[in-house]
Amino acid sequence: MTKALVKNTIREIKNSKARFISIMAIIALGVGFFAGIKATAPSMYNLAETYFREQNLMDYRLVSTVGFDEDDIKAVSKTDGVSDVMPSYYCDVLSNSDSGADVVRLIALPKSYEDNNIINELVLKEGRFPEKRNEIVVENSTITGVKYKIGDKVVFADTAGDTDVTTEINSLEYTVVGIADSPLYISYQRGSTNVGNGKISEYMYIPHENFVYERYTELYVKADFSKNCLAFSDEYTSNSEKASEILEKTAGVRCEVFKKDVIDKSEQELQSAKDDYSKEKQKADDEFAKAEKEINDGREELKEKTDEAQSKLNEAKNQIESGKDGLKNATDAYYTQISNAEAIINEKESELEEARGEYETAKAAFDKEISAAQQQLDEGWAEYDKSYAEFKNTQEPQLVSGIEQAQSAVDSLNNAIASETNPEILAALNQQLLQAQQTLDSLTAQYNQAVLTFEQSKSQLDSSQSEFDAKKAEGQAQLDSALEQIEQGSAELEAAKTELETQKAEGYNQLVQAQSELDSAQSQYDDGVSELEKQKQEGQKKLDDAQKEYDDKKSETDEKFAQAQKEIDDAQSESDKLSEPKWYVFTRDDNPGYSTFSLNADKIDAVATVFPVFFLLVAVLVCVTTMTRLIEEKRTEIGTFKALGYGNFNIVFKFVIYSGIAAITGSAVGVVLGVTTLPFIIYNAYKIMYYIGDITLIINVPSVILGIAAAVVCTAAVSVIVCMRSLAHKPSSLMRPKTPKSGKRILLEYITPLWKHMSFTAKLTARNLFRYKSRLCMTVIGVAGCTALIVAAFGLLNSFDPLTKDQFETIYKYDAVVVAKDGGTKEDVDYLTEKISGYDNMSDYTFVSQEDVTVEFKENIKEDGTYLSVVQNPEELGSLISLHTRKDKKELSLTDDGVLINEKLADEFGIKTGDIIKLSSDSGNSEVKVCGIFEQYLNNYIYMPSSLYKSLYGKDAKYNMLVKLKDNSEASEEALSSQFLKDDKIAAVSFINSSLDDFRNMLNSLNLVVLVMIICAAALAFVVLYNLTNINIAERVREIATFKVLGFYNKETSSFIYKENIVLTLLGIAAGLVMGVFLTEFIVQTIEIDNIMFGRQIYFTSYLYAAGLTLLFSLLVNAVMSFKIKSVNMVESLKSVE
Amino acid sequence: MSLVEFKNVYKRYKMGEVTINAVDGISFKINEGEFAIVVGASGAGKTTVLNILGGMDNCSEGEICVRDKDISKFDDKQLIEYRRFDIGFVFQFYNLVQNLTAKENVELAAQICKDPLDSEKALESVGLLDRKDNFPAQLSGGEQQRVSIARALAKRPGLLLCDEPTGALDYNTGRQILKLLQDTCRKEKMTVVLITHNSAITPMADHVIEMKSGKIIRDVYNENPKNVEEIEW
Repeated sequence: MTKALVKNTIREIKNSKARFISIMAIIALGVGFFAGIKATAPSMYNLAETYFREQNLMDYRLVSTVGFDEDDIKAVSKTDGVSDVMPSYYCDVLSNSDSGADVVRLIALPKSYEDNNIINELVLKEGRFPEKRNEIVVENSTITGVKYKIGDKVVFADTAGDTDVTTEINSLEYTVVGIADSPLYISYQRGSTNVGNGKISEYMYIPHENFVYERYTELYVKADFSKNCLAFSDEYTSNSEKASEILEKTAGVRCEVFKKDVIDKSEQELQSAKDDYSKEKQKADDEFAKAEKEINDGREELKEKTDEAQSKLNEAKNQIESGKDGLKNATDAYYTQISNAEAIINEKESELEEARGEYETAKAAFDKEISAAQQQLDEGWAEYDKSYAEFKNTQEPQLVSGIEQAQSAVDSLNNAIASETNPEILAALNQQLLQAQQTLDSLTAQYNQAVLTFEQSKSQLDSSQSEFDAKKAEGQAQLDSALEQIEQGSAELEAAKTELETQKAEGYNQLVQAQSELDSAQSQYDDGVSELEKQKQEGQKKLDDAQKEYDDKKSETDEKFAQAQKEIDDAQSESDKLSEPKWYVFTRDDNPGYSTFSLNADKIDAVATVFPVFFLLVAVLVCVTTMTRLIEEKRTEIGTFKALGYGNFNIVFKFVIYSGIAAITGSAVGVVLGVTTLPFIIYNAYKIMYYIGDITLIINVPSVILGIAAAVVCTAAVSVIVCMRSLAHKPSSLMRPKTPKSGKRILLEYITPLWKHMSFTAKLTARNLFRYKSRLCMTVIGVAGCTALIVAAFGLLNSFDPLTKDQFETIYKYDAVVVAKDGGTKEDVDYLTEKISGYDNMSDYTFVSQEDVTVEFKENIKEDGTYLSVVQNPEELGSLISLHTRKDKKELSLTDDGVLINEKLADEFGIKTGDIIKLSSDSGNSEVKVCGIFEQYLNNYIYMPSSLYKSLYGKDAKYNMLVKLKDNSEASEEALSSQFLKDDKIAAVSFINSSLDDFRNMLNSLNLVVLVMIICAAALAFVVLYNLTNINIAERVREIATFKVLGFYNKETSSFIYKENIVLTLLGIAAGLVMGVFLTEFIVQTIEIDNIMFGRQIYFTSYLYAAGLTLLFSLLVNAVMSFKIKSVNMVESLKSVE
Repeated sequence: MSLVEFKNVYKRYKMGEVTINAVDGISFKINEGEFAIVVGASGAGKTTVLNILGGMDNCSEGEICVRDKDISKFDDKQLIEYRRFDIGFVFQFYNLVQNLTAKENVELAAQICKDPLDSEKALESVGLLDRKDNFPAQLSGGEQQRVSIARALAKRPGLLLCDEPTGALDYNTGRQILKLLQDTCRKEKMTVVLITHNSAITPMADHVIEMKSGKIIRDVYNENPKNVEEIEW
């Protein structure tokens, strides 16, 4: 190459700075993007590799169903290919914190075993490592768990599921002394467990001394090969598989040994223990039977004896009673007799008294009578005497005088009468005579009477006197006899009395004696009774003592036996467990986060393969156009050089150098910019998920070389090809202007009506478009590529959207999940129902269960991130979780016919409605029909109604409560949480909003990646359009000049170019939008994270943005180009000959 | 009354330290309806003069009056309008738009004028009506140049400027073109300014301006301009 040629080349570059720079820029963008993204995965791998090497990450983790002992460890460390072994402990417990129980995996602090290296060293971030018991190191990054500070106390619940935590660790309370990262957990994933909700939320490290296991629970193994293999490399994988087989062999051997040493022994021991137990048991049973018999005999005897004594006593008692009765009778008789006798005596006495009284009365009456009679007699006599005297003195004279008078009167009258003869006086005299007669008669009668009366009285008196005297004598005699009788009676009475007294005394004495006899009998009886009682009590007490002793002994023995039984049972279950000793050899891939890290790195690599290749392709394409143009422009020059005798090689070389310099410098700039920015930006997004430190740049040399080579080779090849094409001509023809590409009628012109109505410029544009077909293709492809990239970038952004918006707003309508402590039994459901019903801010609620499930369909098996959700009441579900198809938003209903599954799962396994899938979980295994496929973005869910669950598994599911709040502000959520967590029946309250926030944060970092993509795509679009327009103008500078000369305004001139550009851009955009759909779909599916479905729909706005952005760039480019058009020099352009 | 008047016009180019006067203080007049030929060797500055006159270039100094307007004071927009309405150009390499048919090339110019000649008539006047739908590439050089003239004429320009219109054509075709121009000048009373290095054709002009090194060395009027047919070169 001559000096002139070199100069010419350099000058060429100087003269066409814009073109050179635009080639450079496009190459820089393409190569930079490619190299940058390609450097990301190796950098991530390197980061992980360095981290794992520094922390000496284990190659294998061995877990055995029976733990490990020293011999096991020795056997493992002697296994071929094993370099280091580190035995360790772990257990899963529940933390006791305010916000509910988190599952924590407690791991023993790495400690070197004998002369082995420490494996899985922690990276201390803060504080120190534990130095003594009860100190704890918590993990640095907790996404779901509680964030602890140094000095905080960590308290664990004493049970974890069915396990008593104190059989695993010896303290439940720890002090945080350090915060560290573990190489075992590099991502937010923590793996699963059978404790709590089944998901480990954080891990912590405690000293070995805090574990109380007898055998180690896990062995970390470092293999020889890993020193020379990179993590994640194929070499590592194949070596790991080989070594794993060897370890499996060791495991088999150790299991056999264990079977022999431990199981057989334990079985023998168990058997002998069982034998001993039954022997002892038999013996004890016999003894107890004997003792029991004795006690029963004693009881019998006591009863017999007591009964006998009792009967005797009863007899005595009867005797006493009859004695008592007899005595009583006797006493009664005695007293009756006595009282009778006394009554008789008294009667007699009273009779006597009466008689005496009567006598006295009679005597007195007699005396009185006598005296009265005497007196009467005396009086009678006196009266007689008196009356006689009186009569004699008075009455008799009177009466004798009266009778004489009356006789004189009668005699006078009889004389008168007889003298008288007058009748009347006679009659009166008669009358008077009569009267006088009468009077005389009466007086005579009276007198006579009186004399008679006296006579009578006197006789009477005399008789009375005699009668009196007789009577007096008789009375006196009577009285005397009465008195005599009385005296006799009195004497008799006295005698009777005396006899009574004697008899009384005698009877009394008898009675007293009888009483005393009775009393003594009674006291004897009482003594007997009390004696009996005493004996009875004594006997009973003895018996009781014996019984108690028996019982005590019995219960003691029973306890002993129960314990023994339990020991035997434990031993049995232990032995049963032992019966299948199995070692599990876990590789690094089983570490949560380990394989996803590689997966993510690969995904980025996949994006790096698709996206930048596309990018590079566009860039190369544009370069090709540019170079073609450049070379065609230099046609004359080529001819001249050729005419001057320069060899083809030299001429070609100039353009190869030109394009080569552009490509190399562009690539260099691009690589530098790309690798220094993109890996960091992208890894920053992933840093949210991985805690393994900061990325150090590892340049993916092959891809850098590939990128640069692609750019250089393409541009150089284009230069050579185009140049050679020109060189094929003769110099003379080369030096003549190339016949301008002729105009042609285009198809459109044959559609006359349309063509006629097109404006002149439109016609021109239309013809121009088809005139340079290659440029049209280039422009359209270039623009389409940019648009597609922007669509893809936005589409990717869109695809994250449903994860938050659709998932948490359209599908999940509930606000909170309340988990009961007992896991959601029927009682829990009732309790929670009652509790939530009274909660004011509650808008709706229902119960849905969630358990891990493994899904099988044909040969596919899905284990992680898949849940079986049982809906207690399918009618209630709709207002809390909407199960609908994604495309036509048709609500799906839960029926007993089968289950509903989510789209991602269906897509992944190719499951269609009506297919049968196999479910296996803790509840059991089942085969169910798929009745519908619903929209769901996070994890995989299989929904079934409670009735189906019950018919499949024969039991009720354990439900959590989903709650929708009226007011779901942060404050009211906090209120709900604090109120509900106070309740000791509630284990946890979690909110959709917080999950949403977590998710948003995670996705926001991905947005950054997308933004980078958009910016790069936009930059590419700009450069492509600029370049193409530039070429367009350069090619048509004569035309432009002609227009100008013809007096077209700048605007009009530009519009010719613009119209073409805009049409091309629009065509490109249209093509790009279509390409974008496929590109987006491809990219989204490539980078889609496991168990998460990205949105499949590109929003209309994304197309709009992509189209708008491209159009905007196009207009911007046009604006820039208008200056260029304006500055086209008519004179120069028209003068020069192409 | 002169249509065009150059008064002491300079055009200077700075080449580093050196200033070159491409047009070195020239003055001349061209009257309405004249057929003027500017003749001179390569580098005499005649194209510069034409460019300045056509409003494609600015002069560095002096006045250029066209219809009493000093176009040297025109800004870009005025210059464009000047070109648009007053000037018709015919170039050595025709400068037809390849992508337009003959008729369309004429229309391209006609459509921006106030009172254009009918495109087909313009083509008819150059005798190419039957080729109106052909693309430039389908036409011979002479035909292309005639389309170019038709395009210039369609604008009904006050001034038709021709820059070596026969330079790329063979003798006979060149004559035909010159004849066309002369006829146009005469029939249409069109003022034509033609640039050529070929002094042999100067007899056909009304007005001959000879330039050398940026200066006018001869400015004469032919009393009896000859017809093209009468000239041989």
